Amino acid sequence: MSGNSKIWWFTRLLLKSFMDNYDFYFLSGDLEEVYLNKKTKNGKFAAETWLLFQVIISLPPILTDNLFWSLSMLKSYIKIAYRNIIKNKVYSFINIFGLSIGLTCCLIIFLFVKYELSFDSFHSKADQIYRINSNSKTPDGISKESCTRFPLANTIRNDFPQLEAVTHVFVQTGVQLEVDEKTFSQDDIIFADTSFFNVFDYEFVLGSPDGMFKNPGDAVLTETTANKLFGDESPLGKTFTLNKQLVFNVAGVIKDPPQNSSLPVQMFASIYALTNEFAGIDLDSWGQLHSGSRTYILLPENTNIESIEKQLPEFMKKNFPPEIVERSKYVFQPLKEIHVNTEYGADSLNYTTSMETIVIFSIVGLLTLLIASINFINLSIAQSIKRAKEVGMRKVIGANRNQLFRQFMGETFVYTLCSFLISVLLANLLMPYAGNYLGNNSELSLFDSWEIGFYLLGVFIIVNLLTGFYPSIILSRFNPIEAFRNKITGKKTGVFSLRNGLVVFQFVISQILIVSTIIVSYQLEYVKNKDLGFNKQKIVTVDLPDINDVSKFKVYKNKLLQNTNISDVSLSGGAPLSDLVVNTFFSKIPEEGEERFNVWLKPVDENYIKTFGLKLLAGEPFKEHGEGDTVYKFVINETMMKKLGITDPEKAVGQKFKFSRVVGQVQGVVKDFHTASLQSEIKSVALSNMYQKFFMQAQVKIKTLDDKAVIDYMKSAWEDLFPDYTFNFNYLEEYINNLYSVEENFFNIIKVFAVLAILIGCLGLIGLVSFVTIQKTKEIGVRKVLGASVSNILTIISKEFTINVLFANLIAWPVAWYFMNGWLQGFAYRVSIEWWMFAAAGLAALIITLITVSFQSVKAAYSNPVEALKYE
Amino acid sequence: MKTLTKLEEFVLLAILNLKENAYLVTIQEYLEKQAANSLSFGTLHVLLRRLEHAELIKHYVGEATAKRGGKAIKFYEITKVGVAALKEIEKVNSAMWVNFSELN
Repeated sequence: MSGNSKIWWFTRLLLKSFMDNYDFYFLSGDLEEVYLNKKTKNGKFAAETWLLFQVIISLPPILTDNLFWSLSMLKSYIKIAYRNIIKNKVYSFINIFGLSIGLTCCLIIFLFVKYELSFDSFHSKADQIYRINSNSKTPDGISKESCTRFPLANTIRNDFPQLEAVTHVFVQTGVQLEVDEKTFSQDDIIFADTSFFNVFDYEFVLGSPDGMFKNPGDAVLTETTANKLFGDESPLGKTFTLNKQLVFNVAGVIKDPPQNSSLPVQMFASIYALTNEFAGIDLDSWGQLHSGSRTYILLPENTNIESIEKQLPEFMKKNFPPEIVERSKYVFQPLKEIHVNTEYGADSLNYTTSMETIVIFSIVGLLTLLIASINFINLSIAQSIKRAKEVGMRKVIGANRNQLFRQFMGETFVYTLCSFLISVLLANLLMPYAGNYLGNNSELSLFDSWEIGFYLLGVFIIVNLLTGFYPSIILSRFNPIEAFRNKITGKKTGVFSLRNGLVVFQFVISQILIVSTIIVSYQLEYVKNKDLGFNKQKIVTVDLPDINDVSKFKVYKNKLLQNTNISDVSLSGGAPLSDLVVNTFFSKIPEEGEERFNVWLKPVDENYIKTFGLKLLAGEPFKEHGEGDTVYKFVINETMMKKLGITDPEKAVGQKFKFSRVVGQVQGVVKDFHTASLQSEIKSVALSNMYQKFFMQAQVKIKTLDDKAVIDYMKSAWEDLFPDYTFNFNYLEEYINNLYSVEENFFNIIKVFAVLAILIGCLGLIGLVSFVTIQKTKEIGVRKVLGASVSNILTIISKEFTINVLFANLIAWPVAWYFMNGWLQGFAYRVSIEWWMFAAAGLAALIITLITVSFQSVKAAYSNPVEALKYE
Repeated sequence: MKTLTKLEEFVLLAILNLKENAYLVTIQEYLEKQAANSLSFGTLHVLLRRLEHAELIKHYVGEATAKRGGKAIKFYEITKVGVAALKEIEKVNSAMWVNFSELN
């Protein structure tokens, strides 16, 4: 029988989906008649070809016709949808508001993620640019650095002629510029070579990138910097000095580059102007590494980086002594990955965001949208019971299931469109604050690029399908007879009905977020209040100028000490917890094998231990450094003492050890204090008063409440002594709190999302409960007549929700524990996860649920049973 | 009433001429033969649907026949409105074609 062949199956598939059954029956009959005729006349193949052709050319007119009729129905659907929105104001508000919140979050997060992933992509050859990083083995593990030695660029250029370009940059920040007697402090300066503009793209406003920096006096300014230095005058050809050492001529001006760059820049200068004195290291030597020095390569198009990597071992062997080859290795990192890789983040020039954070963000955004959509679904289904009669009536009049399905999809469309418009407006309004809050200060807008339009459309369609599909199926399925006999009550089909599942899912997510909020806030409190082992209150740090004149520093110190409101001043290479670190190594005497340990050297003066209140366990504090001192005496911390193999501080005093290249002697032992954020373990630290040329900071302890007067005093003293340098000060406590800004951000974000998830969930609950009470109107009435009290009835209504919440908590807790435990692993010093954190979160969710539920159910419980029983 | 399009006019005339045997297949054949206008089944189906919606034609279901997979035929016939519409068209046509014969 021909009706069973493949071609007929295909015909049915195509035509039946666009026609109603009645029409299709006759049309397929007509088709079959001709088909059979042709088959007997011209054979099966000809007949099938004809049929296929007929079906395909028939589709367009049928589709257009369909569209024509749908459009005329659409008007009616939109009218009905509008009436429904107006009729159920609370329900509509909950629906639209909930969905808008979810969508707004989703949009903001999308912009955030897009921004974070867009770093460095403004360079047209971004995909071919790689940064050379070095991984080297140290006593404490592998150290990953993004800085490379000065001669590397030239060596690479010679040994890898197939590379399109190699460029070496030297980055400096916080320098002083002088233009006609006026001084400016300037950040983000890149010293670049002649290849730089072949690799990276910057838009020139004045001058051109060709041959730039060939002349060691060349400098290129951004528009902002040019404006700052020279005002409205044309900057081209103007001269300025840098740190009183280097003289530059402005050879070009570029447009302010985008902020989403791993190489933030406000000014370029020729790298050939650098001197050993200025950089502080020997530029031609392989021995020294400066953290501001970086090398980039540009691959030719269609070349694989692996082909270059393959040659690296040979390159290393050729250029370096065996012990270096064994210890360290060069790695090529794609330019676009720099921002999202925190491994090399320590000496990064711009902030980095881990891929993890971006993924967490995306998940949170999607979840919020999902919760909002689930809410919508739940409410629509609950609402549908009310509309059973409408569906019944439509079916009786002649609507088929498809039409009803379309109608309800259309209503969802109206709701989502409203929410969508609201959330696009809201997201755009909130964006400036969000950028600030998320910590990337990006200037994002939804109307920036056409890609966002696609994204919006995609989200819109997905949300529409997600929220409309299931309720529309349920609604269009109603049997008209049952609908008229009030038989449809939306009864659950089982304990784990889909609707219940969705509610539980919502609670699971909010529970996870609540638990995480509690644990993160607890950890942050702990981190901020933990005794660091030194005094951090009311200490102001002042950056010392870059001059090798310790006697002048001492004059400043004495001047400060004359102020009665200053209790202590110390000069040092950095506060106990500081990013100013001198990293070196020590070993025992007699040497046991090759064992060397890393140690942080703190160059200090005699006041340091007193100023910071470090606790001396044994030995003596430092005396003033005298000219004749030749013995390297150290005050070490407990960690270092233990590494020396000593447990008793008293015994440690006088002990000798090898320190870098000298022999050191223990003069005292201090109690361990934290040297870095609580994410890392306490390191070995050695204090010494022998390294005075490394003094970089003065730490001033203030003993009055009037900080401003003291700081003004410090400033005026500074200006007398160091008139050429700007006075820079910081509060130590502020600096320490800022160490946790990433975590603080994370906390802020989950806090907001926890609140939003709960809010959306509660909105959904209000809607659900109001429908449950309507369903149970009769039951409540009968119970009241039979003598049930208000509290009895409340219990009945709340029972289902309570069970849902408890069940959700059970699912959420292990998940939350897993994630939070992982997060806490990032801290060397952390709080332990306690049972009460879960209990508190669970209780909070339960209380919120019960309050929300009782909101509606109290009304039902107090209602007059006569009214309830009359209801039919 | 809106004037009929040429295609609608043809379909109506085809139904008129086919008398008791007017259904999709025969209408299609008739149009192809008389007007050299080969329409797809889909186009014709949609056209018939619109004409029926405008109440120019109506359909009745015939007996089930073996030769088309046991399916019945949907026959069409012209309503009074349809006839009126054709008359209208005829008037317009003859008004428009007046004096044409003088050319030969």
